[in-house]
Amino acid sequence: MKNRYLKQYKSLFLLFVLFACSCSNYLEVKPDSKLAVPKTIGDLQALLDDAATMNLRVMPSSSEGSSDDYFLRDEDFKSATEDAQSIYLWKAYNLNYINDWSLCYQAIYNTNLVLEVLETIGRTVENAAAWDNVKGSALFFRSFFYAALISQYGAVYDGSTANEKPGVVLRLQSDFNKVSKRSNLQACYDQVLNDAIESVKYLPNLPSHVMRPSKCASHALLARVFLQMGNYPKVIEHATNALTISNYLMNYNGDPHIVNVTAAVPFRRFNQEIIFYAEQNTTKSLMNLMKTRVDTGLYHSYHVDDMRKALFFVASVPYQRFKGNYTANSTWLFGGLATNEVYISRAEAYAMDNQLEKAKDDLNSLLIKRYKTGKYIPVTNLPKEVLLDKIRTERRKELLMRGLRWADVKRYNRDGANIALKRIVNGVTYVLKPNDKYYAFPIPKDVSLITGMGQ
Amino acid sequence: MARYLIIMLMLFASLVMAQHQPFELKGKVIFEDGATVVVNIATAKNGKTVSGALGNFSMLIRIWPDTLTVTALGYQAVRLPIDVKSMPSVIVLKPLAHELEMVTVSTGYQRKKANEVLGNIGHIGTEALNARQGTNVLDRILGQTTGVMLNIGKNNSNPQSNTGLSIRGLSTINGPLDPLIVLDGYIYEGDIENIYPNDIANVDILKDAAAAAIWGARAGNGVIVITTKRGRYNQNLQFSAQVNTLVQQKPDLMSVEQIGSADYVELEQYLFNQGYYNAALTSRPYVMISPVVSILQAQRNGKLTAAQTEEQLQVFRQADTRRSYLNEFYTNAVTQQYQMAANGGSQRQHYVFGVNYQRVRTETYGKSEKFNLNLGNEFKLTEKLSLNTKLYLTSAKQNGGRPAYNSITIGAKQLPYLPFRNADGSATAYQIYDETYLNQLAGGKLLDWKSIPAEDYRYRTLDQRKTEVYLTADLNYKVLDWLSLALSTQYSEQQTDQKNIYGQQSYYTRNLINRFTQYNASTGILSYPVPLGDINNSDLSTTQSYTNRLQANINKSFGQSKLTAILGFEIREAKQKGNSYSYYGYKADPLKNVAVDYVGYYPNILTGDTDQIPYSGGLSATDYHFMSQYANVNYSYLDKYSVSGSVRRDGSNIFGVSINDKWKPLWSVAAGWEINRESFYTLAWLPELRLRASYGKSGNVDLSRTALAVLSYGTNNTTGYTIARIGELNNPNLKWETSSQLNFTIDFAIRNRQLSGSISVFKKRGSDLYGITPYDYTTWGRSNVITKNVADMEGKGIELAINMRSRHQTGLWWKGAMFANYNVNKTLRYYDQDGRGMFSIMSGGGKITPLVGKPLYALAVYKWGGLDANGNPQGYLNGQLSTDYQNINSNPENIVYVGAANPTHYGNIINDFNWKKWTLSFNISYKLGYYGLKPALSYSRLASVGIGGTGYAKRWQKPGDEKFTNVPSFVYPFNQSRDSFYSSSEANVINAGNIRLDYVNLLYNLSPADQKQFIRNMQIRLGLQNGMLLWTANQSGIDPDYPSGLKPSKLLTFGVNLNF
Repeated sequence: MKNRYLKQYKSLFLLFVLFACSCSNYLEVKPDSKLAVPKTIGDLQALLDDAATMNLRVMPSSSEGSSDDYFLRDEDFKSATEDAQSIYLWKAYNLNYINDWSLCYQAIYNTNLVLEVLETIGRTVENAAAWDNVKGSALFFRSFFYAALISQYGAVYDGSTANEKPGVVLRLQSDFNKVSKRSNLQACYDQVLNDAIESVKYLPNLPSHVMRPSKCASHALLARVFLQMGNYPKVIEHATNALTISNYLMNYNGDPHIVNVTAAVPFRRFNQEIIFYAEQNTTKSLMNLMKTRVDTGLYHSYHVDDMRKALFFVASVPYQRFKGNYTANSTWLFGGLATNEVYISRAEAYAMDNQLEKAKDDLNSLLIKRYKTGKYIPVTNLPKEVLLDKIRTERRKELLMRGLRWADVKRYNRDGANIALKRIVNGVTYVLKPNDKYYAFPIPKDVSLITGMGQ
Repeated sequence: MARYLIIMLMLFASLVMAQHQPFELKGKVIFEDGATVVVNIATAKNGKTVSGALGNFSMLIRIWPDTLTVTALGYQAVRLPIDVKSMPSVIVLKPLAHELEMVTVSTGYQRKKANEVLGNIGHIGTEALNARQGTNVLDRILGQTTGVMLNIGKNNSNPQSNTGLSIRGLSTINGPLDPLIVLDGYIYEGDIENIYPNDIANVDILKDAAAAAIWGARAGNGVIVITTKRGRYNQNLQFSAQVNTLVQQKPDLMSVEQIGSADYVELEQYLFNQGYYNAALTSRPYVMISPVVSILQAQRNGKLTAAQTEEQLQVFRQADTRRSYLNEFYTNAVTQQYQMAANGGSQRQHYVFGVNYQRVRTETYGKSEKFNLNLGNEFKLTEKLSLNTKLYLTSAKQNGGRPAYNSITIGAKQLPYLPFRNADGSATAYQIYDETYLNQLAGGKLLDWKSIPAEDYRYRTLDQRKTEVYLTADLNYKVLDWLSLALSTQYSEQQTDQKNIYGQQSYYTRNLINRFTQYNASTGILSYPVPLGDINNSDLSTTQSYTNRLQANINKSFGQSKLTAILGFEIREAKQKGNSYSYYGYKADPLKNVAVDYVGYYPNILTGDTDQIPYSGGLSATDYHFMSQYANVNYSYLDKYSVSGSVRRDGSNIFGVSINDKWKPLWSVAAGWEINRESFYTLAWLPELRLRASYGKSGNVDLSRTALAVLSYGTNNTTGYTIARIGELNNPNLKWETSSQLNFTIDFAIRNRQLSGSISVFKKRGSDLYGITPYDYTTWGRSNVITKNVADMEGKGIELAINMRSRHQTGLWWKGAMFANYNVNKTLRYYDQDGRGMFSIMSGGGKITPLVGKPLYALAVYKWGGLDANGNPQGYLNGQLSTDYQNINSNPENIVYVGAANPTHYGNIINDFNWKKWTLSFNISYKLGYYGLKPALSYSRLASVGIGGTGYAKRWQKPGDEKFTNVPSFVYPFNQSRDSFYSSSEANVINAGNIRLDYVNLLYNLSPADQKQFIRNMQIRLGLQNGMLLWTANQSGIDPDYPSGLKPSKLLTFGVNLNF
């Protein structure tokens, strides 16, 4: 009797053993094959290669929407969204998520995460090239997006006051529990410069695709940032470095990357002037090229022999619309780096640095490619102010709708240009005075509420 | 006097009896109440008969031993061995209504007698499942028990929310809403449409924690346990055949209210003259325009005279898109079902075998066919060891039909005035782009770019094939008389193969080919990056799951105590693999396809933008693992007091980082007290009274949430690089949602059980629910909110179920069932962005909008101040009437809370009348205590989308109209704030309460009197179903469940059941 029970309980006991055992490996299987925790250099490179996060329609566009290269007809203003209207009239205090801010910080998060994980992966002889490219790319991207953020949200740079002026939030770690605080403008510029300079050490001269960073891109970025800061010798240095790597300028008379002058989208994608490819965002549809009309005075400033007049514009009687995107798309605006910007930046820097001969040469080498063959009359010796004025006019004409005008107006006004922006809507005239506080764009309202950062 | 109806079967054995000499068996059936109901008398070997007028019957017995089966509608069957010597003279039968005590319910892990269950389980038997016909079993459980509701018109983005069913209301906010579906004891992840409803024996709805907690982490929304039909031991071979035809009327599109065609033409003319289309027409020659605008444009360009214009416009004024759809694309839907089944069993084995075939023609001429094979076996291998197997096979194919209402857009709009045929009967072709512009492209050599709505579907094939295997096997070993061990396994595999072919002549394909066509102006040669030929987007997916289970069953009585318990361990795996691809230049015969360049950019011939060829391919693979340990113990003493408890621990590979976080223990406890068995209990009129109480916790698992810091991978088509993206922020603290429930139930029955029922009161609480919480998106810009376990909700309700029956002396027999539910819920904790939560519940109540203190489905609107003298809608701003819409719309003070947007009271009453061979049954259901918004007119949407709201004809047109209408006047330029104020205002609120006639069924039972007839019995069934509205609380006559007017149309069912 006793024995029988023992047997029976044995089988029960066996069951309990099974019951208690929890084969842990069984629950360690990855639930979705497409998921992975970032661990390898490949993962990190893949994060930076996600063009939709890092390149395409990510660059700030609100400042372009507030710039003076275009205007809206009353009927188009009426049909625009409230956000677009507020940007147009410099009242963009209410631009909540999704916006320029979120798109830039999304990319910045990636760079921070990549840099952190990369620290845990040693650099070895075998992985050196891949490791360096990831490191350099992350640094470049971080610098690139912070530069874009401070151009829009930061005050104009002035070395004497930059320590007191507010910049943007400098986040250098991926830990999202850290509270966001606004850094001062100097710290922001320092970060941008340090990252970009550091990135040069790691990056290849030219990338395998222009959506990846390169030495050339880092130098071009540095030239752009130093120009904002007014450090002209540095502009010259980095612009020269960039142009040493790549100085290709399309001949607008018939470059293989140009479809034809009458084409609705005249430039092919990834043309050879592009050093680093990025696009301005379209989240708030601020810049709808179907509705924006190019400033009439600006349009008429193009010479009839200037190929840009036909390549950049299409008549929408009685006005003109812009079509000269380097994105090969009729609505997406280019927001990256290209050789033409580097040329014209260096020209301006040379002029400011009193190297008028070189300034003139840079300007001529650019414009000769822009005019009908044989029609360009090179600039000869001009007084500094006249030459500078000419360079700045050509800069505006060359870099139209590239997201650069806002920062340019800002620094010209800092230097006393006294440019007032003007809008006329339904017969009412609106003016943005030079050096208005609004030149440092308001931080998105939802962010400032959550963080208590204030404006 | 006996409590039960008694069938007195008095056998006057005429014992003229030699060994195996045929003898005549005579008998009489007497009903206690003097009624005469037809009684079926059947034997397996000696034929069958029915009782005569006075209940007498006789039957010639040639072969014995045999079994005599006595059945009568409404009474329980009695089986007796036919043996001359030991035939009892009186047999007591229990009536069917009392079968409750005999009913066994299934929790999926064990079967129990209904009266031994302490949890709340709604049992739906075969008969109740047949009350409503249709192809989906889930439609058939509605109204057959308390607590189950179908939510109509609600959207939820969670991927595990497809059934629309809720059991005892909601228990989550953002988590999955579907109840867990269990088929023959195992979680069923396939397509429920694959299970042929007539193969199902019964469905048990596990409602409270004590019933459901055994299913642990997935049981938070309740569990639906489906049990398919099985054979029985010692049963002779029985065949049954069934034919059903279901006919559903064409939908009544004409009752969908929309702007009149002439009105819309006039509107477009007005807008055209106002320059509304100018920007598009001048700056973008390739913009899509409506036919009317293109006529007006032609007139403006001098291509049409005023008379020609008028003539052409007249065509559109007289056409009606709804009529076009009805004429071209809609028909009466027909479903035909055929079933053959056999079952039987010997002493050591029993089986069921069935085949079903179903053919459907949908209302839009879609076709589907389905074939099921159902095979179940149980073998007693030895006295102690038995094997139970079940195989369920489904093979189905489906072809897409014609376009459904509103699916065709012309000029990027849903226009109300489209004719699909010209006056001569030929199909109308619409040129969507400006013809002059098209002709100058590519030397005019592009493919025809017109859209031909009446023809297009002919060039489109949507072909889907599904196969499913569902296999279970249980090996039972009886270790001791009170202990058995079961080793069980389940395997299922479902494969879906879908081809979506757009023929070259379809608009989709021509459009794509044209857009990508490259034209060399100097040579005049066209090249086609999207090749000529068909486009085939195909998709193949496989889902596999298996479960292995080891379970001990204990069933022991000692003294006055009884103990039943189960203890088990289970692992389960669910895998999904998908593979989709686009084939261009496809041709089926001879089979070919053309490789295309997905990477390169090609200028779009219309716009000049550069585009890539669309690629819809992809691979996917998921693999979910679960591991569970569970136990359930039930102890009762003196058959009076019982307690039960269950505990379950679930682990999965979805959550958390460390193994500890992956396991979550869930539990329940319950107690019951049969008061009527106490000696002090003396209420003779209420002979049955039982109290039950339970409390417990179950979970809710969202398979799409993950706590890993996860990258999802892909390839950038432009660069060819592998890309990785972070879809959600790492949140290692993510846990399972928990749902706890407290339940009290009183079961009762009055004398003679003419009335019996139960009342339950429950309170639910969902805690650790997924909720979004604001977050500084400076840290990570991909989202401005993050999901955490931060929300709580509460639900409570009362359920009343009553069964009644009564018999009239004439033999008319009535059975009634009433189910009444009261159910409310509210959000207890949720993040409210900037205190703007009131705005979130203004979305019409179609989705869950958590706001603390308010129901999960809630409705709020702007306060309405009527129309002003100019027809402008007025709201309130700072207590004053105002038309400052922007400020009204952004100020939460102007919002009034209306109430719940989901029924708080619902239920139904089923009446069955039986007279002789006829049974009439009908179900009346009600839903009360909730509100909805009727679709309101929005002028801006009318212009931009085409069909935009209702009430255009009733709009304010002249001063004084404001007294009669709430529809604002037309204004141009459009004022979106004004439109959105009006459409979300009090003016459009309707009380959604309604009463419906849910179904009416007429049954005719034919049991041939002649025993030699082959057919044992036959049932003919005629039914009418689908929400015939009897009463609405709103005055405008809007069906609140289908405010747009497009509702399921009436369904006529006809069926014949044969048993032989």
